[in-house]
Amino acid sequence: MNGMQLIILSFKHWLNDLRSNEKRLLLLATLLAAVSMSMISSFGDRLSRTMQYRASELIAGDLTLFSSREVNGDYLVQANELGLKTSSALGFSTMAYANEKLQLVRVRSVDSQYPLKGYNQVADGFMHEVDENGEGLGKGQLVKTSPAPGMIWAEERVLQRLDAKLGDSVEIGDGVFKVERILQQDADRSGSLFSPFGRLLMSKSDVPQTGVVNQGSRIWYKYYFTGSEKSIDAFTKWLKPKLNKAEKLGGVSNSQNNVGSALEKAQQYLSLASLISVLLAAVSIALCAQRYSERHFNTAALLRCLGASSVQVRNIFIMKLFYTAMMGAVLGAIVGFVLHFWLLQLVADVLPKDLMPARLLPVIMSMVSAAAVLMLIALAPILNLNKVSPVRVLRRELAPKSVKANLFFVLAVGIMVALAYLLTDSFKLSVVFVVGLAILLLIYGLLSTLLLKGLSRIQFMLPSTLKMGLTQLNRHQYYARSQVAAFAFIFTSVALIWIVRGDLFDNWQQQVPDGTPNHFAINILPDKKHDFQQTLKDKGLPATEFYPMVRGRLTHVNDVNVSEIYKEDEGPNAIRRELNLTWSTAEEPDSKLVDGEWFTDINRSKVIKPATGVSGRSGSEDLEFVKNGISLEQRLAKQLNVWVGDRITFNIAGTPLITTIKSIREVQWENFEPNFYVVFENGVINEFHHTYINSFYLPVTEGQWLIQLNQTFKAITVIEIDQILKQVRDILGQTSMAVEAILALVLVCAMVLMFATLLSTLSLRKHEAALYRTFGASESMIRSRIRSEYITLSLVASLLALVSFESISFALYYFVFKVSWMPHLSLWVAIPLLALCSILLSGYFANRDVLKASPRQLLQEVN
Amino acid sequence: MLHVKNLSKTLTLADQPLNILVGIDLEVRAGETLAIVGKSGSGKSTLLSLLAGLDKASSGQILVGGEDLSLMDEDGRAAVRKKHVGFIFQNFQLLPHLSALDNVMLPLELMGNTKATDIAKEWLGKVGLQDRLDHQPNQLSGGEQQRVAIARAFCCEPDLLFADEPTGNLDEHTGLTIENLLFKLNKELGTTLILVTHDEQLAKKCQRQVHLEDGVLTESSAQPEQV
Repeated sequence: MNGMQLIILSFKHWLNDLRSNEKRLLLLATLLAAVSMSMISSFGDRLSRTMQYRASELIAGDLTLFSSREVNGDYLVQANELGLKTSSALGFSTMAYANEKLQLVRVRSVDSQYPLKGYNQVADGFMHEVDENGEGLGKGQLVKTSPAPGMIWAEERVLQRLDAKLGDSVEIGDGVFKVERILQQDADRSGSLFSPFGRLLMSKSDVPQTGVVNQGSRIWYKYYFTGSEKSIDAFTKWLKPKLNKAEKLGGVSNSQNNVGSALEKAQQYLSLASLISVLLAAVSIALCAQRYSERHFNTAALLRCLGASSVQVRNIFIMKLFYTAMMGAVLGAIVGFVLHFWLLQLVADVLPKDLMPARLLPVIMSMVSAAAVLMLIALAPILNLNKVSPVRVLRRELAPKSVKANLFFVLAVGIMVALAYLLTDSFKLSVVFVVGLAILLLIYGLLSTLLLKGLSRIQFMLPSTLKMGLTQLNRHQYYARSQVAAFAFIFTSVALIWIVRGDLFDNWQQQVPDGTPNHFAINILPDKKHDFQQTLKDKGLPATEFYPMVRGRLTHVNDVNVSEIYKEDEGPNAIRRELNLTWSTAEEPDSKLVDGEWFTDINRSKVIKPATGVSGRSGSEDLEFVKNGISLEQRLAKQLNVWVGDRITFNIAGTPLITTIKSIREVQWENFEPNFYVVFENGVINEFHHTYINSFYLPVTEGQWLIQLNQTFKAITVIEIDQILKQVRDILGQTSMAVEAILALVLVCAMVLMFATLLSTLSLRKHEAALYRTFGASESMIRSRIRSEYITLSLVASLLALVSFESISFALYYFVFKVSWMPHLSLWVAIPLLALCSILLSGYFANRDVLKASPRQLLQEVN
Repeated sequence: MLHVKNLSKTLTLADQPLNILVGIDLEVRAGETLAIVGKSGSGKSTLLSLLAGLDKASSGQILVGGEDLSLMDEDGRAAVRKKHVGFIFQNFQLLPHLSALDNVMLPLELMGNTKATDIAKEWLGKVGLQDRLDHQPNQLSGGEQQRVAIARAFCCEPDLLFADEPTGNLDEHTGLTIENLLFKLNKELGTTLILVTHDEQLAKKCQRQVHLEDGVLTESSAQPEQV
């Protein structure tokens, strides 16, 4: 028989095999794996790309390139060649002059393309101004344009300090510009909202006119790119190796904004869900393949008897497996792809209208992965078939010696790690998951045996239903063990995905709960603090913290000047600009301490007096030293390579101050509260010039009151962040719906695979039922035996599932999500209930034939 | 056609050696029909499995068409089976998901015969099942299933045909029909037939009969009945 004849023969046999339950189940499991992977990955792929696209609106492009020098012209040429749209900005800090007043401003000069993505939020009047109809002129509008040459858009606080209004002229360097609009939000929101200087947007073509940008000026360049995902990827790949240390590439995923973080978690969840559905399918494939192999011992023996060599027998079965893999994977991937449109339809209301187009990549990946999962998992039991002795045609009891499955097990674990990595893009998560699964399956096998044996010993103490169920299960220990393990795995997965979903939602809820402050008030001078606080109190707004802010520069680390440690443009940004320093008045830290201790004596007496005179103090004899004076943010500490006890020197308004680090804090940058890199002990820097920052929630309907507030406290700048909050909420809302839909899908997958698992023992059940019926057992008796078996199975599997779920969730919480862990008591009720209902329900459908058919029919089928 | 010298099969059960077959010598000429008769548990099926190369003897020699099975591994014996041997089993051993035609075609396809379909159809016609080509085993009666098995056994025109209780699962009337068909086709093709049975009547239809008792073979002098 040549290769082609073998291919045709195995194809014919494969087609005929499709009538068998085992082959159908194997195909169904593969199909489901592919459907689930293809549907979830297509859906997730489009959703995450769309969410990234939406989030890219917050950085004014898909990709940004920041540099302290003008970048190589080749970069832009290459971007153009790849079809990317580009825009560039030039930034600098300078003094703005009007009405004999000076104000330091941070200028972003942009070209006419800016913003490539997203919007500038502008207003045609101050917050406190009203038109003739009493409408606030300060109401923000979203525009996709930038200032025309000769025009500037400035923040309200800049104009207030300059005593200027719309239409006035403002001098910037040598140039004179007209104030066209009030800038409320720059399209590129990557900068800090709490910068002490006001922001100003102008046309890039006007920069030469100002004369402020000369050789040696401290300026920065920012380039924005947008285009197709493929082009952005290609450009990023091309650009990355060419970047020098002064050039930093930025995208949505690495922007440290609230959206980036929510997006990352949502993506991790979608991947987790998709991984779990594949694992569910993989377990079913393993069960079905084992059964399929056993059912084909006779076929293999006959083929050997008729003269087929062991290689031919092996090849025939491998080819058949390959056809199954192809049919299941291809069909499943296509069905999944089609179904993802339905899924999108389901959540259409919350999805953005400009959804990214579907791609073939996830479909092909799903196809290959599903086929690979089947081939690798089913290969070991299938290879048993060529070990079948031909004597089996005469003596049916002869079973082959099992193939050593270690190699296949290693391969299967390998492919699972690869799949997990592909789906989660996180090596840590993949390892935790797959190693966890491998250990789990081993433990499941062991524990289910121990549990069944242990329960049998105390049978006399159990209710009669469980007693009968245990007897049934112990009769077929091998199948009972597999089923307990499979069900335990299904329920562990469901519990895991349910709980992680809940935590994800809580996390999002905490990020932007109802009543999240939507306004920040900055520049509150100490003498106005009380009045401002009182005004908010009178309005009935909830009291929130007033954080003091002192401007200071970090100059030395362990007595070495930072300029000696880091060359120009290297090191953290925090050392190149003034930092907002605060001091703590609380007995407890507002964020988690990673190391060290919080300030014990919050009323410390050591007070550093600010230096008098223009030049400030210098020289070591004048240095002030405060032991254990600060708490430092974790990431900055890491960048500076410092730890508790290390010395940090600040320069605050010309006064040098050395202190050692008392603690390191982990700061949640994604929450909408003022956060600080450096917190001083109360008292140390209180004598320095400081202002306060406060955040408060004001319903959007209270615009009028806000105008009054601005009129009363003209020196205080109130920043509205409603738009940002809305954007974050929209994205989280969409993601939550998708998460719910995917959870439902995983549940359906689990149910169908559970059904498949029950069907895999159907022939055994039929045989038994046929004999019972022949010996005169009634239908109700058989029904009650099956029911008691399923009830016991549910309870044993739930117990196992709960123990393993708690262990995995502990590992996930502790190592991956890094949050504290508590046992999930509600699941100790929910999981057994779910197990009972689902197993009894699927058992009812799977066993309908067993109960309805006559003994003759059953015996005939079994034989 | 078949030479057996000093053949033994010993199994170890619960650390105790169990002699299934002891010092068997047998010679079967080409075209001869031989019945191996014995009670249940006498070792008939074990002897059949060894003669057909399905299993390996503990000692002794089996030559099929001059080829020594005892020197071969399982794949070598499979090649001999493919070239020289056909089988008919008590429980028919048809593949349940294949049609009657596909079942008959199976050994032809394994031999790489490109005319498998035509030959199989012809043989199904010879056993009277030309109208049941697409039926599956569970749609056929026991007698019909055994006819399919007979067609499958003869379609490759084997030199040596082994039949293990070919009528054991059939009623008397059907059994008789099958016996007649088997001997008729065997005569037409001149195949060497080795039949294992405990049915004395069936055994008598063979030219030679040997008795197996407690693993020891003895020749019987009875003359065959006219078929």
